[in-house]
Amino acid sequence: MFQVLKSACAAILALATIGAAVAQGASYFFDLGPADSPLAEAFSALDTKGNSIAQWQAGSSLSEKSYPLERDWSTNASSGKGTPPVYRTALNCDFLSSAASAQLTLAVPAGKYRVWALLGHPGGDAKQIWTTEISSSSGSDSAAVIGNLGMRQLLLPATADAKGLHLSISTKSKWLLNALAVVPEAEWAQVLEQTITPHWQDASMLPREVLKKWTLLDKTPKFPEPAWSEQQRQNGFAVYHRNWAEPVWPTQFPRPQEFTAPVRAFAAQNEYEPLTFSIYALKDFAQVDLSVAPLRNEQGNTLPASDIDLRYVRYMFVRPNYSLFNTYYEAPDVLMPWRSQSLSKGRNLRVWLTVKAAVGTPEGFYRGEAVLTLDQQEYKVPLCLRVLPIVLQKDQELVFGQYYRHPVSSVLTAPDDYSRQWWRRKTYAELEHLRASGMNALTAGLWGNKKDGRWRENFDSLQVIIDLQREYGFNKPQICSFNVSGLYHKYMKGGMGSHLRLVKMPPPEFFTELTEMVRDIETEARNRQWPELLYYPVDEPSTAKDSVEFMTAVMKAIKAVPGVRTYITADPAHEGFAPLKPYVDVWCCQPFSISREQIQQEMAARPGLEFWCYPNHNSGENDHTPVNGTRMTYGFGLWRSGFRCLVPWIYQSTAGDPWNYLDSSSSDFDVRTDDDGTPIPVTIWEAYREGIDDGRYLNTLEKLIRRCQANGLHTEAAAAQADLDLIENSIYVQPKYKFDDLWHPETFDVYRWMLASRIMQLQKLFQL
Amino acid sequence: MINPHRCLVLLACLAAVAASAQTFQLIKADRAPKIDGKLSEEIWQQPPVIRKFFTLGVGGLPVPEKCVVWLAADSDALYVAVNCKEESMSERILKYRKKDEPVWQDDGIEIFLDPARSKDSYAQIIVSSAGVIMDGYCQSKAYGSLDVSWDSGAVAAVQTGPEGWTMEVRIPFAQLPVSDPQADWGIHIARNQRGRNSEHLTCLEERIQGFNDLDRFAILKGLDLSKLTVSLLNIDFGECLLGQNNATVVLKNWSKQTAKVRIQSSWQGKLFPSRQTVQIPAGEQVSVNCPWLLQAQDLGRSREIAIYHQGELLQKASRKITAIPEVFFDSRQRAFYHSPDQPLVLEIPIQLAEASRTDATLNWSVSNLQGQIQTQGQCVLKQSTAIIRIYWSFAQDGDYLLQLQLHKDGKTLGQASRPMRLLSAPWQ
Repeated sequence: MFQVLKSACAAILALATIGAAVAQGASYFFDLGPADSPLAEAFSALDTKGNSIAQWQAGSSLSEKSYPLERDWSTNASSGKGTPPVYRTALNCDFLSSAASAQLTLAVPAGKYRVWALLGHPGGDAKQIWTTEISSSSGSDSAAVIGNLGMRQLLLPATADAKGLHLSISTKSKWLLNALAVVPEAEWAQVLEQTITPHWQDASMLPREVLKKWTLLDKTPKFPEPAWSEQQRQNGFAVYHRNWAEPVWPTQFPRPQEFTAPVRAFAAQNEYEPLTFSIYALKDFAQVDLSVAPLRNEQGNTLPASDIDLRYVRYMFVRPNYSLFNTYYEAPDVLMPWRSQSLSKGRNLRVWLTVKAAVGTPEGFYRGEAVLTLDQQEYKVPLCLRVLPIVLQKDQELVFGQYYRHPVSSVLTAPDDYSRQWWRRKTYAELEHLRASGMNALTAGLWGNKKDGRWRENFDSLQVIIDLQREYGFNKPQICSFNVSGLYHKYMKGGMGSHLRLVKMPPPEFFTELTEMVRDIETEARNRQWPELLYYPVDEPSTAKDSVEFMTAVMKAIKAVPGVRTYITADPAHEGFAPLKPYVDVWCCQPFSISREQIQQEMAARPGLEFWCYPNHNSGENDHTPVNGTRMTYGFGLWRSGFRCLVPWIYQSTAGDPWNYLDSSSSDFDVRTDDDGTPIPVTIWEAYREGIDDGRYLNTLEKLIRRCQANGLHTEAAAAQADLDLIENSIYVQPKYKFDDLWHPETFDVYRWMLASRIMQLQKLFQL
Repeated sequence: MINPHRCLVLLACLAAVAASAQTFQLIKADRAPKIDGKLSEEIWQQPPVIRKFFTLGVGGLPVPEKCVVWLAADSDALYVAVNCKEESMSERILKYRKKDEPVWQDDGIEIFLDPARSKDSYAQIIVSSAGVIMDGYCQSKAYGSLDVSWDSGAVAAVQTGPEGWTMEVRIPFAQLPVSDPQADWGIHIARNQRGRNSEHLTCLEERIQGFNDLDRFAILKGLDLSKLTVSLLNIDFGECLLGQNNATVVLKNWSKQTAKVRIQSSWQGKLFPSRQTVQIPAGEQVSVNCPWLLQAQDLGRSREIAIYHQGELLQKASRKITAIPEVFFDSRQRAFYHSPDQPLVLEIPIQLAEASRTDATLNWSVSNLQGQIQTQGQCVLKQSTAIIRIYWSFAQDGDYLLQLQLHKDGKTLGQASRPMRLLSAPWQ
């Protein structure tokens, strides 16, 4: 009785204390930061000294930081375009941080709680990796913020006892926290909807007063609601299969025929292959889990689980174009590593498995199941991958490149050991990802200045990059930018402007010195046994008169060094660029802008001339969903085009928060990065690989045809050539492949099977 | 204890949003100005309505003295007068000289009007500094594109001088898709300088990324549309496929009396258009069907619809037939799996106008390269896609020919032959 009374008194006392503090119902909200920083409405300030509810463990060494709340745009002098500010709110403009662990005790009534934490936008060093882990007696959660911008949230259960609720905050480098909410379990749903979600949206998308001015579009291709079966209604969900190259939109209905479409594919022995299926929810599910056991063939051989990559499609709010503002829509994009998650009624969850058939995998039908568990309800999805007795070959003359920002430069200058290791891991992981996806070239740059009469460039830095690239088989000519803008500034005391919009013709001494710079670089490159450098002085010059005159003189100055080749991102079909033709060796344009016949003619007339393509319409720059078109660009389309290289902008485009495509001057697109530094692909990236694989099937058959001809097997060669002719004649040739006039996604696979069948038939002739 | 330093950022920002949008007040024109580009009329001697222009995408401080605009109106039309300074008159780009050519690529002015502040549809009238007009209407900015066949009825004239040029434009109300005579309009005036130091200027103070950023248009006040009688809200030419098409004309009668409207539909240059007269009750909106036939020989011709009210041309629209799709859509798939257990299902979109294809009969056959028919069938079209199910109990891998023929009422509407390569599926 007395214990109960004491407990009751203690409870009453605690409640009275709490009543004087900030609380919403029985929940507690803390805005962490300096005492004088902006305070979010209904949040209580929590600085390094603590407050009446929350106390830091004695001796905690905490730092605090606050940034101003900005709403004014600035102007980019080079492009002349406006740039939005970093949109901070009262909640995420300030934070507490530390390089050491910290303990926080909250004087809250005993009971079960959920703890929500907001962390991000630390500013400062772009190479700092922030890792924050919060633990309670009931659970933990962690996240990383890469560099100076990015918002994350943590959620964990916690239990308070008579002494309160204890949280441990730890880090591998430095941690930071903007805000905490401690919410009784019973209040969670309401607080999530009314408080947490709006603040998370403010921080991770745009502040509500800014987002109000944006228009949310619905780009979902609409299908009629299917007639749900009795079983589907009972289950509360429907599982279906759609070809991986056709997007599944967030709230799109499945088509009836997709319910019975089997999840199956075939692969050669050194190939990855996607297997996908989707779940449409007819009711809410709190937890969806997935597991996949190894696949087995009839002989008992397995495709191990380690060769089956489990992911799901994350829907992102995206802009219609990377540089547009004020409109956005929700689109399928990132292939996140699988994790247990909830699923709301009326939404899709697309599971994306990528199976690797390594060299030496015995041929056969490998079967298994993906086991879904939706709120303890189990559902099995049969899977099948047929592995073929084919080892694919690639056309070694083709260049599959990426514009790329090498993370290795951050390794040397990262501020702490963990960050250094993180950037190292990112370096190697991305190179392996690029290699495994079929890439064999990356862009790079040289920068420097003139000292003691000679141009000093960062040769050693580029050496590191070239050596790394060579480890991964990147052996193609190196697209290399160099310090033309710096040289221009020396003579003209100003910038050239984006697309050379501000350029004026420099004096002759500029061009003399440019030739000298290139000569020095080329001498060093030969001395170091580098691959050929393609000299890339300026990106995307315009067709304005001044721009073309300047570029012509620049290219001429570069070509004054014997044996070097020049590279330009410009359309060779545009009449405005005609004066450049004698001085450009590698044209790189966005569409397949000239015909195969013209390419062959011009290349035959001038050795060293090549035509490359940077298909930004397939990289996500202006659309995240042309998956089928991207496959065509990278495979059959490239084969038909006569172009020799695809090198889109860019492997990873990040501006502002890498998980927020609406902030900053340009939208993010293409590959993302996980908390541990490893790459996270997007659906378009998978289409690069699959297109390259289509090309490998084509090339393998072409090589077999030549082998047949060389061995007098002309009938067999002619039959195989007829296959290639049939495919070639069925391509609706376009400068850009995106959405229109494309084969159905299934048609690609039928043509690939046609190639595979013929390859296997011809291989038998040589007893392969 | 709550920290007294409470930040009201959220409330402050919301208040800013609630502040008044940019507004332009029209000058009332007691007499219609003569459209000669001289700006000699008295109404143009008043202070300009729009005095500040900003560099597109940048916002911030206005660029000094580049461009000023007057906006005036009487009961029939909107008048726009412009005075543009130009540092280098000889370097203006003036490539286009014919109506509806892509004049937006030349030096000139762009006038955007959203007659009901819908923030989704708008009219765009571009006038080059050579006086050439390109106009179009976008029904839905989010999902559609600009229809350049739409005619605003605008007339314009330009005068040039050593340091700039002036322009006058008359835009009649009657030809604009006014969906509510009481509503304010959204307006945006922009200037393109394409010569040396190419630049784009906007009259909108709020930062925009494109000229058709309708959410940020200014509000145009002072319109008097009380005399507006009939408006054309929409013309849709229909599917524009071979066969019997149906165009739709949507009209609204704003007046208090029944309005009689004559609709003429014909091929451009044809002497005897089909005519129909429509009575629109007072205050009502009607949707009128105008059937028309598209045949193969119409390729390259333009189909026109003109609407007249009280003897005056209200609006005219045309659709040039630049392409006539084949009757049988070609997916370019030439290889197919065959299986004894499952039919091969081919979905072939039929590219004929609905009235022509409905209840047409599709005969199909698959023959080998020796011409021997292996299988055949027939289906009656009830929708736009023909579904053919081919059951292969016999098939072997190899090359075949799919023949298609579409008939209705004894006439052949289309036929096609497509090669087919049959393959055993990977799963057999």
